[in-house]
Amino acid sequence: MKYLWSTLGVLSLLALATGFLCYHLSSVPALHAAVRKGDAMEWLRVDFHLSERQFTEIRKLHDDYAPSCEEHCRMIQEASKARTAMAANRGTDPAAIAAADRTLTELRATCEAAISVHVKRVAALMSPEDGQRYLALVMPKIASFDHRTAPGLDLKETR
Amino acid sequence: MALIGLIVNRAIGTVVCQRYTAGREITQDNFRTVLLRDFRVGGVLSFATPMKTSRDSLSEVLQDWRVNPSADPNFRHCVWQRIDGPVRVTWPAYLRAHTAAWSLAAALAVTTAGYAGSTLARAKAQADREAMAVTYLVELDPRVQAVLKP
Repeated sequence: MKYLWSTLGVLSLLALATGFLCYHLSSVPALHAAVRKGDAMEWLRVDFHLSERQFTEIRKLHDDYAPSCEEHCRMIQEASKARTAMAANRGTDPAAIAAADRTLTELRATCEAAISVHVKRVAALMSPEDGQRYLALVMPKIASFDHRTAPGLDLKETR
Repeated sequence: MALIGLIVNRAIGTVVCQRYTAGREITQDNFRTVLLRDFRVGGVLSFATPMKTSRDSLSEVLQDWRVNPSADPNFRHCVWQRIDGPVRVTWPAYLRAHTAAWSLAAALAVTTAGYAGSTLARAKAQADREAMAVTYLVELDPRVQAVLKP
């Protein structure tokens, strides 16, 4: 009986050591470091194995995209404020509110199309495998982002 | 010496389980200087003799030699005592006796632990990826920016 427990103890230690070793061998320290820093571009570089050239080109793409992103952002904000103001005013024609809704929806659709084109351009700069993995990760999130809340901060609107 | 030992043992009342050792004594002494005598009271005793003993004289001694061991009243008790006594098994001996079972258990434990460790690491990496993808898209998506910006 003494040897039974001793052997079980040794076996448990062996299993723990194996599990610990496999955990460390399978983990991606660079990815975890980027996550800890909250650096999205560093995550992109590490997780999608970008070379310096690829990384520079993707950063340039992002920089070029930023102004149009801000413009879209401004237009959506304005349309949203206008729609909210109309809805708050009791005398507003419902047809005008519906038109404001349509405008907002169109702006969001344009925005979604623009960001989809952008990420596809980014994916094209990666290796085929990494590009596909990148698209598989971000495209569903782009399609499912809730437009009225701040998505992703609690990861509830990302699936 | 054996006679003295026997007397002492009987005097203090201890139970002595004697083994038949005459053959061993003869072998160990290589038929040279040990003379065996069978005493009715003391059993077989050995005497060291300084004289040279030839193979013929040894044969004569062995022919004259008769063993009449007295009945040991504790014999049965001693046998059972030895049978019932704690069996000393070493750890390696225990493992050797259960090699198949412990090998299987070790293989299962190591495989399961390795798989669990890898799966846990992959799951953590995937969760980190999902979180970073959201952070990344929040920076890119004007719809999100419109909500976040004041």
